Amino acid sequence: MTRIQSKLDIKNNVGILRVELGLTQEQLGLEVGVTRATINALEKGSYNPSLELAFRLSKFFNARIEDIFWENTGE
Amino acid sequence: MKKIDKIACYTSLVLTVFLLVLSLWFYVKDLDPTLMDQETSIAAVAGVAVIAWLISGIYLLVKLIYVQGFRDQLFLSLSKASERDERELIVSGEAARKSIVTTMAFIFIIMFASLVNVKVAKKHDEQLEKKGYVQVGLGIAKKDTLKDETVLFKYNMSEVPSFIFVVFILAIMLTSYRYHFSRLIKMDD
Repeated sequence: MTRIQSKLDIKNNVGILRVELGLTQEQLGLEVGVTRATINALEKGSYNPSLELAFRLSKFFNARIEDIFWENTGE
Repeated sequence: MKKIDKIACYTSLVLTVFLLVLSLWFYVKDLDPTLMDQETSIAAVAGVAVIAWLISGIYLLVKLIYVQGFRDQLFLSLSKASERDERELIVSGEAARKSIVTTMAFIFIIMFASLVNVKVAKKHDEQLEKKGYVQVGLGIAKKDTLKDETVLFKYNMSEVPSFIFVVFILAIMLTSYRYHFSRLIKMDD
């Protein structure tokens, strides 16, 4: 999504964590209360989730938010 | 959407179409004297229809002004868009912003088009050197009412019924919203 211009390049490993659990995008979406398309957008990095969704993902994957999402500083 | 809201919406929609057809029928009736005997019963039906249309219209108007949830629901169902999660909510907001800009552009075009009027006329006086003329002017200028001429072509947007403009703007707004919404959603799918 180009809609909201973010100055931060946020990366995530939602896709990796999902595959590790053997879930489809649809199944993960159902678990955290969003659509398959939103999970797809998240994994592609074209959409940054709300704080609420980030917390729900963190809770579901049993991981800290900063372990799922981080800023790509190019280092 | 509540049941009473649905009833009001459908009543308003059906009666709008019915009254438009009836208006057309009355228009035709004026030209055709053979239909005059049906006037009384049709007028009675039209009277009831107008009252029902006004009541449902006022109800919808009040709800549209004061109840934001109803307004959002109606707009979403008219545009056939969905807000199933936070991303779609953001996308719909962006689509609404783009839709407003597009609609404003069309309103500006209509505004400029309504300012201009064009007339092509032929004068009857055989002794005149120039027998015809083309007039391009502003819609706000005083209209010419010359008797010794035949108007061959006339363009004046102010003669178009305001109802057409309202329907046109509404259609542009909904189509534009729907287009931007599906385009933004598809970018992520």
